[in-house]
Amino acid sequence: MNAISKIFSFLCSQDVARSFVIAGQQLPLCQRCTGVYVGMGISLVFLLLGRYHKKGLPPKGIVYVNIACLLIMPAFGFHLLDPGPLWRLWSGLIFGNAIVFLLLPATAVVCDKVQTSTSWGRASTLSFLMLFAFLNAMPLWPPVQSQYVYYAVSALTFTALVGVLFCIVSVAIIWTKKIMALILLKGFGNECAKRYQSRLR
Amino acid sequence: MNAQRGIKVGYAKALAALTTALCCLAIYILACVMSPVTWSPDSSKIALLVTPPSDDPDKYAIFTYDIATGERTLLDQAEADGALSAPAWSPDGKWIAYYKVEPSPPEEPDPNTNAATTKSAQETSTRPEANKATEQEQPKVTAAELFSEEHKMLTPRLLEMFKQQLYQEVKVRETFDVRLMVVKPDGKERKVLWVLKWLGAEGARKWVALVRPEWSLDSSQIFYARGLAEGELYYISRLDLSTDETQLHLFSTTGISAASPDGTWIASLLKIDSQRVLLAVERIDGTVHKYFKLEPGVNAGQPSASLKWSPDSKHILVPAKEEFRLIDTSTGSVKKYHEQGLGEIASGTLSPDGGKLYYVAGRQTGAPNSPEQKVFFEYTSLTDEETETVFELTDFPESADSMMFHIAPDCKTVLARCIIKGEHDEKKSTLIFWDGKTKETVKTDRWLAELQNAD
Repeated sequence: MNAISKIFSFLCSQDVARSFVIAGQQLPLCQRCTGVYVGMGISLVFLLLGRYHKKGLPPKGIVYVNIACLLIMPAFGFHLLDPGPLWRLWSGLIFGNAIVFLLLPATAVVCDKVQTSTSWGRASTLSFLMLFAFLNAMPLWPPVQSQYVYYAVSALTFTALVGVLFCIVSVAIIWTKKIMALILLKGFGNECAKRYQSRLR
Repeated sequence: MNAQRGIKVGYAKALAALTTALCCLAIYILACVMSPVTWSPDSSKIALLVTPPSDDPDKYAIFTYDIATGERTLLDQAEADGALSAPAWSPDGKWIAYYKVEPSPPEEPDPNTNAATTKSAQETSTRPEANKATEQEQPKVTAAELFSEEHKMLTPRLLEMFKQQLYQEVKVRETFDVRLMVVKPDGKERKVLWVLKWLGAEGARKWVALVRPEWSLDSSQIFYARGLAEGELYYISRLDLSTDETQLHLFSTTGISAASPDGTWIASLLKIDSQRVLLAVERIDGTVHKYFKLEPGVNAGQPSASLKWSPDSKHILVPAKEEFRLIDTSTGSVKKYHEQGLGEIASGTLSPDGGKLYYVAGRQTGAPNSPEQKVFFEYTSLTDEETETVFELTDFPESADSMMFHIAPDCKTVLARCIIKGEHDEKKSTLIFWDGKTKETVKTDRWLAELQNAD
């Protein structure tokens, strides 16, 4: 657990006064960051298991909801509104959900050139709404002081971190590949270069 | 063509979504890491009471001091027979709470005439009788004024017994007003939250300097003390900052309480006599009162040796001279942390995750014929009781006296407050900081001197 605390110390102030303690152990993240990374982890698992990331970007309605969730964060994050621990957790959960619902499908489109137009159906949108309602209701659960909850929260936050890093690295690799190809193959008129350039276009 | 255009538009939207998501996450992470936590919770600043190095100081000032920049900010000051207490930084870092006794207004001479002067001279001889008569006529403080909290959580019968005993034994019922104050760390806003009556004569004001209020972990409540017997007995009450409700909780001989991180319990020490010390623990809603009898050796009289709750709110760390005792408040079992060969230890602090106990320890090192006393900053793991040295505290001033150690909440910095003798044997109040790499010495008397010059 010390290693996890050490890793997350680069991402969070780990304020003792604003961190949950589960089963006698302080979580490696503050209350808001716990919400962010748990929200990201749950949303990541949801998207991957349902293969929603291959369906292109989410429909407009979902995107607008995500943008609203992103815009709420400054009020809570800069302590303009600070009603307490559960609200910090809630603002983090919906923020993390919004991040992943924008990040993962966009990464899939950029990297794999999956269909760029959305193919989310009604069932998919309904699934998102159920997930969103679930995340909004999470802060209302009574605190469960169980070691398993501690491990589950740690696993979700780690999954979120790995997922985000994977997205960033994937996009970085694709873009590096494209830029290198453009630079190296520029001016070449052979078949290989033409084929590659047409693929890039 | 339309399909291609559609693909390009879709691609652009995906890029926009990607950029938005990554930017928002990056901004959030940066804001979270750089935001202040507050001996302030982020251990970057300290708030301290500064007085001249004397047993009976006549000047008090509360400053915040930034360890990295050396910048200090004056928050409040008191002179003459006024007093300030030690400050307490709220866990959210927004306020600093303390007690203040306003100095008595100077007696103004009667501006009218010689006749008045002559009359006063004649009256001088009769003054003692007049004073005696005045004292007798002075209204005695009532129990309602002393115990003015609206909801009394203490057992009513115990409180009644105490009041009866107090009124039988205490002859002098002088009181003075103590203000419970809060101030912003930048000193720009100051408020009086409550005015309490403390029982005691003129000299009792100095006891204010030895106590401090305590915050709940969510910074919504303050636990304050009311003095009843000139530094020997206090009772601890709670003020809810949102509703202004006050509730009385328990008696204490230190005037300092400790609230559990989950906000459920309040604890303090009660010294019965030189051998018996009780740890009083009460549930905030008043439904449970527990008293644990502690073995001799507890530092119950020293205000710097305060109780500390573990992060899970189940254990209390009680400091003793040569060991630490971790008391399980549900079972009363005591676990002692002591190492053979360890000299005196001080200032126990639990790490933020509750897994380690940090302390300052004196050890004798070197050859048996020429032992050398050294001081180390160490920790003991509470799970396997392994001890590790974090760093050695070196370069102590030779003439250092009355040394008190404090460990920062992040357990990375050690502060010692002491009095050292200057070139001409004058006493100087000093702060010494160690962080394992550097040592910094700050003399605080000049802070007061600058205030005096500014006046």
